[in-house]
Amino acid sequence: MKLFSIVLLAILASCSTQEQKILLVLKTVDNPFFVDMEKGVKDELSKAGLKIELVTKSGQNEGDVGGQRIVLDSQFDQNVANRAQPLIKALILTPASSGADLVQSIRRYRDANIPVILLDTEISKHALESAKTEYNLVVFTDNIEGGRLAAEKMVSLHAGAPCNILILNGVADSNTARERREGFVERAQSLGCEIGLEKTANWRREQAQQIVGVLAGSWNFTGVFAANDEMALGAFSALRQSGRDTSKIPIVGFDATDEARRACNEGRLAATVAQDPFEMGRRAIRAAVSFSRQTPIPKFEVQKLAPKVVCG
Amino acid sequence: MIAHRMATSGVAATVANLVRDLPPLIILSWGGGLLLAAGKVDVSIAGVATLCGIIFAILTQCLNATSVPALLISSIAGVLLGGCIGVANGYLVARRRAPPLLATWAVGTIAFSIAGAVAAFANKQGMLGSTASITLPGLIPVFSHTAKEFYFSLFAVAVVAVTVLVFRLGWLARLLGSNEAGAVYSGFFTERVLLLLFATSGAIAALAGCLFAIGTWTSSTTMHAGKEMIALAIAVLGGTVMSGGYFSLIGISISALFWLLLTYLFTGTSTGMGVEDGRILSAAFAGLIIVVCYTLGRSLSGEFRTIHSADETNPTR
Repeated sequence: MKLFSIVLLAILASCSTQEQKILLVLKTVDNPFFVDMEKGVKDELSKAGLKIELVTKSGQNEGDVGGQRIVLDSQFDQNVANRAQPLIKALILTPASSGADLVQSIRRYRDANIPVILLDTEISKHALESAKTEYNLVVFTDNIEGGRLAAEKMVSLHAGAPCNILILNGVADSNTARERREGFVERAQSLGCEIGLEKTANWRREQAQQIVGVLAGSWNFTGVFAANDEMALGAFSALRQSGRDTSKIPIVGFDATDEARRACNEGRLAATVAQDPFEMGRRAIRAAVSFSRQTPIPKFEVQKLAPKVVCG
Repeated sequence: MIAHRMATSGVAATVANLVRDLPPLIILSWGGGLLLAAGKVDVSIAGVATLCGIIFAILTQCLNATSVPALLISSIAGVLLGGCIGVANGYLVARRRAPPLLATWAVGTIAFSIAGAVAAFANKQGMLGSTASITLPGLIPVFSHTAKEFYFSLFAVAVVAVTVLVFRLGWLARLLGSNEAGAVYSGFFTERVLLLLFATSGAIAALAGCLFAIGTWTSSTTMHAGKEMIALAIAVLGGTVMSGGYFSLIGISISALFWLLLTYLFTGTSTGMGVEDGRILSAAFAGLIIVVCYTLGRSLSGEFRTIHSADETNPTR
């Protein structure tokens, strides 16, 4: 019993370190896109030579707003609340939702004067202003432009043949998903391509596979645009399983993950739109360092990264 | 060529989807149902399926083959691991008298975490628990009557069904669930029976994880999150009594089929970014279910199955 108490005390003592922290809250860690983002954060942190601990947390999946809210609130309670000096020096967040879901949690951080840096997905400015709060910086890819590039690639792959596209969208409540879709639809339609059907597979490979599997029986699409690579790979898998000639159905993804690049090389995917999550992570740390030296901290700053179509 | 034409026609595609998706769902629900029938619950099945699916995918990658022997070897490894996790569950619940919900939840959570760590290690990714889907090696098969994966899935279901029937696991579960004290006084080693049921549930969940991996040709650390609730819901829909005492392989199989067809219906009709259409349809179905519950409530809740005494059922009484 005595030994147990000593061990327990040791564990508690180790938990309550007073080291300063940067809190990184990702959508999920089962998507290599966010893993690369974390690598960028770590890389810049080590280059800056700061003695600061990086705390990485995430939701269970890319739409897990509740999970992110719990993480934000519990970290606030542990490291910020009732402390003269908050231990968290900056919050870097990839929001699972662009709506008002996380606004109250963000407000608590901003009220404690902790810079809030959003990556990949923006939160509605209107929702934040309604709650009398703000983010300080958002770094994201120009998703509308990415969608347009994907549409141009898709149309070029059709080479003048009739074009009827199935779109697999991300989580419906996400700006990222909405912008990719808008960019693609606008450019594809202007180039004479028809959007046959849109469905949301919530960024998930297995959901995309199920949807395309169900549609495979009455397939009349000439191509598939998926708002991320996981869904693109799921679509390919389902088409292949249903016996369709996948070489005649171009599939364009988004994110340029390693597996998608390999799939492109092997001819399974036609193309993918590359973002730079590593650079996003690096910019977040640069901004956090810069904000720590500025008073007042800027509000609603936006940095857009240009996407490009890649294959291989 | 015939297989190609078969798989791309409407009905055949749905059948191919069913053959791909139904076997793992059925056996996962059988495993969950067995424990429900015994008056316990096993919510670790999703974690076990995830861990064993990941192990299965990694093994096939190591063997660099998806031939039947490679699938068999990888599945057996997964099933053994699942059985061991099931035994751990059984020990906690049967021997240490731990509450099954808490104990199996904890074991399942640990299984999820180990799956994340193993996948991260295998994929050489940055952090523990981080991985994309692990894709099986080789070309993705066409799911039709000519694919070996098709027969492998059917074979797996047959093996589980025969095991449950031969070892009378359903009967044993019902024995425990209907009156555990009675079983003890009748001379049954209830602890051992419970241990056996948990081990079986774990092994079955592991096999389901392997079949899910074959069906989607991939395995990821989060793809089964929440599936334990679906499996238990299917088991209950299939007639399994939540407080124990009733279990039917056929009932659960039919219920899984119903569940999957309903899922296809929603998948096939709900639309993309404007999810409102999908929500309206979901609401319409929910309304229909309320109407069915209102009109057939007594039947659904099992009152019509209750054994009444002769006096009670006599209309002339």
